[in-house]
Amino acid sequence: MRHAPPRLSDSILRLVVSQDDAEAISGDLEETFHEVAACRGRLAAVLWHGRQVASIAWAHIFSRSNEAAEPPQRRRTMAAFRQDLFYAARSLRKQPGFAATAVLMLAVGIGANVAIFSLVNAVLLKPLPFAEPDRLMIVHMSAPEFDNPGVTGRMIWSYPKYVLFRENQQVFESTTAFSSWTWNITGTDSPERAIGELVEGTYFQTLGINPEVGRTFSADETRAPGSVALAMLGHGLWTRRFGGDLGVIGRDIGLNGIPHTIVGVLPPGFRGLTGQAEIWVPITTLSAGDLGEKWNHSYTVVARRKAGTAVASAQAAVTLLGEMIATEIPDTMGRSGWGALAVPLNDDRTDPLLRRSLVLLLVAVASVLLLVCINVANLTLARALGRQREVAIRLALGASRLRIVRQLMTESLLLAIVSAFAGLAVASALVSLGSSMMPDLRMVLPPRSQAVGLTRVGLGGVGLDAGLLLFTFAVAIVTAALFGLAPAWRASRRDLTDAMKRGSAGSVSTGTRGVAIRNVMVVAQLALALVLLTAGGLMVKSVVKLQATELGFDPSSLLTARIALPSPKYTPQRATQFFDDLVGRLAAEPQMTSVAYGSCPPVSGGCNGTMATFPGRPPAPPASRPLVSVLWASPKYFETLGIRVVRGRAFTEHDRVGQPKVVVINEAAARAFWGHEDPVGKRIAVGQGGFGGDGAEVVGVVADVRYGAVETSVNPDVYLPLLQSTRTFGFIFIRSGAPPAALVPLLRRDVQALDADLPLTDIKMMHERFGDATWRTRMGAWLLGLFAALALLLAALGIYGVMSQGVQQRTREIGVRIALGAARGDILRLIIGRVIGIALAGIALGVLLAVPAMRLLATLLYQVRPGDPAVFSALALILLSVALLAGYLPARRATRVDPLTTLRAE
Amino acid sequence: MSYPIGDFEQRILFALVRLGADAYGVTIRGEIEARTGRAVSAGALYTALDRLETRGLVSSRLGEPTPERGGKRKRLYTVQPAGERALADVYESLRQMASGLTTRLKTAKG
Repeated sequence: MRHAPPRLSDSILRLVVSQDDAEAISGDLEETFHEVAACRGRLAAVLWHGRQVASIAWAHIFSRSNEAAEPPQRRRTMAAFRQDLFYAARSLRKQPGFAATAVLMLAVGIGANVAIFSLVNAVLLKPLPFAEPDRLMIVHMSAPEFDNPGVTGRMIWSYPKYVLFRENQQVFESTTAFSSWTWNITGTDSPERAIGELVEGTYFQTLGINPEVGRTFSADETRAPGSVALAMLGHGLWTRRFGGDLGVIGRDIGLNGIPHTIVGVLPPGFRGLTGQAEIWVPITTLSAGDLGEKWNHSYTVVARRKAGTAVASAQAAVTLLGEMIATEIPDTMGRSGWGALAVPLNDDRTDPLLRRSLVLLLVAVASVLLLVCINVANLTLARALGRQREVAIRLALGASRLRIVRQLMTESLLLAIVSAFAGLAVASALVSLGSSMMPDLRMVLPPRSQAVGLTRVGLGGVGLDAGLLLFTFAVAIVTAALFGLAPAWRASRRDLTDAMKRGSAGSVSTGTRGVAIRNVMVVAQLALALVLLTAGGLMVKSVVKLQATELGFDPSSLLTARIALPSPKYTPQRATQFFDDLVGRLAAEPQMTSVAYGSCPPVSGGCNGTMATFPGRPPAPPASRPLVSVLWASPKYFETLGIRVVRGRAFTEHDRVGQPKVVVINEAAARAFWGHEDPVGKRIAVGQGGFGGDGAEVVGVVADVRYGAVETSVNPDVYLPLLQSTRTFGFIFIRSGAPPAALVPLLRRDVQALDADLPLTDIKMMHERFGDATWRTRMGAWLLGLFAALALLLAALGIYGVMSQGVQQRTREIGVRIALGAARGDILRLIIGRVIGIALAGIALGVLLAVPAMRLLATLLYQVRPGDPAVFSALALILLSVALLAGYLPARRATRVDPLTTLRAE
Repeated sequence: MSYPIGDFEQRILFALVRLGADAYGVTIRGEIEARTGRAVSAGALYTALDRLETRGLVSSRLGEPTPERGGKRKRLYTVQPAGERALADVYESLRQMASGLTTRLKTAKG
């Protein structure tokens, strides 16, 4: 496959040259790029491309073609600037070691900042990719929470309630309801599960999205339930399955075995409000019966505010409408608290915890850059002092101090700009690495929130754009000011005669003030490093705690895959039969240790829940009935997942339809509903799967399994035997010592043998699901740990640099001391004593800063307190040891000073 | 026509004359590199072409896109009569200065 030239350097090219020339030059470079790639490999070609762009950029800055048009004042300034730039480039080239060190540090610092900012920009800042997104609002229902009396939560809509809202509202110019949906694409050789959205006809118009090809659904086609089967395709699906054929319009696509007429194709990049849709079908293809269910809350509502209506008045109107709807369709259990509220789409775009993590990461990464700046400032200062003679001569010859500062600042700016380009490369590498590690967001963010979809929409826009380039160069300029201004100002302030009289740079003393400034900078570095270290340390400890959490099952060597049986083809009874047959077939394969069906995989969230009642006990009022999770399981389920049976028995092949109904509960349910009594033999009823009414007998108690997020505590669970109930979707669990690569083909073969049209989805090893479930914490720990390690390294470099310079400057003094009889040990103690002083000051300041700062981290931690003394003291100790090590090397050098040489050198 | 044209600009003009209808960034660069054996920097090439065009010595137009260029169009350059005159002047003066020295120049090079 041919690779395109690097996007980064191509975009830089387009930034530098005029619009007119961009196409031709970019084409020229691309043409040669492929030749270079063919002879010397891709890496060489990428480097070649970068060099070409750099050369063109350089030439453009110095091109004099427009000079004549500029006013003379500006021309002089430009000429001086060019002179400074030439001079800066030459002087940096003369000290490649300094330039390379500075650029390396700055590129890592700037690159990490740009990478994190690109994430923040995409997920939090950049406008959502819809027309006039500020006018879009998401309309929630508010509803009393089942398990939390008196508290209302946000909820999605039922269709009849939405229709009431739509027909009576006057503040929105357009409203739309939609729901995430999946279909099996059928009637082809390769069945595929397509994720899409069921949408009201007004969906595309509300978002302001026009089709790329064809048209959207018309009002006539989507007026009433039971309308004709139509579909719109996402751009990706269209190119993947139809090769981008314009002739698909009017053709049929089979969805769950029903032909749908394709009316249009959406533009590339548009994946709906769920951020992952590839196919859209009118909501009205559902039957009047389905859409008429008043208590089936399944639809998200988004609306576009009228141009002249303020957010607050729209919100007030929605609140009133909510009350009207609550009166019109009253709660069947007599609870109050139903209503509606509207929120700007942008406010709901991401989960608050994710927002907090991102902002914290941005602060952390900015601190790393600050550490880099301090180090580079130290280097620059040392270099500027080495050039005192040169500066003094220039001042003596009449250069103004401002001119000297400008000259030195130009060097800093040039360093920063070069580093910014290198930083962009670092950032794009980090971003592509990061996006390859991105898990399924459903696992990371709380389910049932629109934030998941909108975060996905945002992440779709991660990448290099004008805003990011602007940010990068703003950072570069701020960076240059931070590390360049103070050294430049100091260097230009020298007393002329003093500097000129002195000999070589090596013996120039900085005076006590210079030393003090640099000591303060090192103390600040150590303090910052300690803050970052504690943040990283606390997150790492959280991950350790997460890994050590008792999950209640054994996640190793456990393959899982999702199967959903399409509804017209499979009746509930047939579906149960299918799962039973499939489990039987798979279990007969020699590689399998154990195979089972389960309705919901652990640590993934989104399991079914309902209220439980207890036949034989006096009936409790509806609002105080306990909430339980309901899970369907095949006979071998507990054995396959490694879930311990604590009391009684697991399900067997005999727990079938016609036999007495039985359930298994978890320990949490046993504790909550029966206390110290033995629950085996007692009865419980749940309003699902045909287990309501007089319920079923509890035959066993199993260990608590974490079905929700790993961090959340376990709720009461009730397991129903699959063979006594019905379920049309769920997961196959396979425990086997064989690698997944060997198991998946077997699984596919057995599924295809039963139904050739059926796709398998969400195939994952259980430990991968665990990885997804703990992703946010692990990612935070990884990044903060990385930043902390960088900070530690930078602080060590800072101490090392300042101490070795101190030793160098005090060579004479040390020489005199040794000549006067000081022992080497005394010298070592002298230097190390100073290092310890600086390090302790840094640690004390760091602890003072870290204690309040870590409180911001509290919500992201798991079973670790933000002030964890073990973490604090361990990290302070590490920092102290690293500081001592970094200070020891220059100290040892000091003890080797030869008094004769130093004295003679003067 | 008060400015003289520089060495590099002369080479570009020579290359344009040689390449005729197929003169664009890649071929011009290839021609100069192949004949002189020295690398040509991209920055220098495009600014020099720009300068020559501003001075009316060459003209350019956009060509057709080709797939190996990622569908981007070429900028094709042609020498203008003024450019041909300038080149002829330079060459003539060089030839005048070099006349009778061919043997010595060859020995010096070897």
